[in-house]
Amino acid sequence: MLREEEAMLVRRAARGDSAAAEALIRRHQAGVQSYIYRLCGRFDVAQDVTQEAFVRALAGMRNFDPTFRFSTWLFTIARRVWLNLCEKKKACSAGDACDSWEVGAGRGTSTSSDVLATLRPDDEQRDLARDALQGALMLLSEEQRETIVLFHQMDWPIRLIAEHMDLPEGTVKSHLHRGRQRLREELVRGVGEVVAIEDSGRTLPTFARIPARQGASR
Amino acid sequence: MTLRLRDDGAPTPRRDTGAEAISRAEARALMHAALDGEIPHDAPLLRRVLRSDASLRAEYQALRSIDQALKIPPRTPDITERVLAALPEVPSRHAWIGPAVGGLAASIAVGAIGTLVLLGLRPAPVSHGLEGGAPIALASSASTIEPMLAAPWVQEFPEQAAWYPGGAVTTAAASSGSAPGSDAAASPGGVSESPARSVTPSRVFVADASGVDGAAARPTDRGAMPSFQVARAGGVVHNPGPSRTPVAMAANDPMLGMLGGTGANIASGTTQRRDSVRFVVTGWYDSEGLLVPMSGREGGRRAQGAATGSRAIGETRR
Repeated sequence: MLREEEAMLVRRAARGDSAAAEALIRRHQAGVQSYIYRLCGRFDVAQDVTQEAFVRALAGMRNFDPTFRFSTWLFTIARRVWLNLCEKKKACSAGDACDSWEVGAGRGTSTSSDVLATLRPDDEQRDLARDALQGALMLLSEEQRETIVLFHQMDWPIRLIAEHMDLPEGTVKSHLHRGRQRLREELVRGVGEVVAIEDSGRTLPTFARIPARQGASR
Repeated sequence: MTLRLRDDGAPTPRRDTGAEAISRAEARALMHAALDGEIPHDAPLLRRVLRSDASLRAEYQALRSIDQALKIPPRTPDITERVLAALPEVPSRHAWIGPAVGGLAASIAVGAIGTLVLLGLRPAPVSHGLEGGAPIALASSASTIEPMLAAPWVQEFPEQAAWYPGGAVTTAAASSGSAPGSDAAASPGGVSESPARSVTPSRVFVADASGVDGAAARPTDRGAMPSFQVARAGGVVHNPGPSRTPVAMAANDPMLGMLGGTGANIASGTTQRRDSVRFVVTGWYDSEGLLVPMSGREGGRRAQGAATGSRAIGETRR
């Protein structure tokens, strides 16, 4: 969506145009949901937070500074909603959310060669990668996780991430670098039933499901 | 120039007897700089580092693959409807009437009757927080309406006078079918004999009619509401007047209220039929034909509603 087009939608939504509001929701809901889901690992929480963020944003259009992108503002609201939720309900914190991923199960019990035979076509690679990455993300610190998600998934520049998280750019980079390294290490160790296999001769990692017999022996 | 990787992280001279020495930590910093977008992935030094060390090459490829994998979005459901359903709880959603009404306003602005008949209007949601409409008589004589009439932000649509009065609109509505809840087309007499023929409405508002079951006022009430005219969106432009069968208005029908016409515009049903009518003005159309909710920032500040703070036009009881 062009910036001018978005600005027009924002102006119309601010005036109560429901079609414009709907267009903004359709445009940004997936991004906000993904962002929050990556932070918390729970779809239900991501949906709740996204809904609340939109409601707050559309109700508070008068506070929107049009010199910024609507999406940036929306993400800021969503982040605030999420952090407030974490404070109120510790059960929704990232640590608890990790439980559903069975993180760490079976680590180190299999080697790359053990699972190479289970490699699947690209579409399954996507699913494996997605699941494994989410599990591995939940093992990072909150700051590492958020910088990774905003930079790699949302394509935000470091400067914007620094503003969004209220951190110096150098600190953001540090979180980003350490987060990447940790992410890789966790993936290679195996997250849940998925392991990443590195081979210097290929474009890797390749994600593979740990064979059931090995998973059962964990 | 050859590149020699050292296992320790200690700083060393960059050049060492013709070969460039670089620590693993420095090599990783290079890799992350590329991943951060600060240097290109094919930067010469990075290329030499990766060429010289298979494990670093694998690590770098892995990090790039993770970058790509992270771009695969989670499968998130479409929650647009859910969010929209939650919006009525928000004050600024008072006037979520939709693009059709916006289109109508645009039609009014240009006097495009032909466009009007194609519009399908959907019922507006209940106007939250504005349920307590002031009585019409009170509203018209008190501070609710006067500021509206004088408000500089009210968009004038003088062209409307050219087509609004009379049967043209009614005929168009009848030929195109009425909007949901609209029965003007079936109303005997329509508006062709409406006293609105001479009206020069100058301002267009959007209103939710709340608790409405009929027309607005008896002829004798015109004095109390001299310049308010109700046009039902969707084709029912005018109620038919005292000698006609009143047009039933469903609760929460979107309405267009026009202020600034002659005193004959608040046409009525009969005393037998009408007992309670309330109109709540929730917004207006600006020069771009965009809906501006009066409950929003501008409305809240500028409507200068009655002492109650209500933006209600009013309510009449018989």
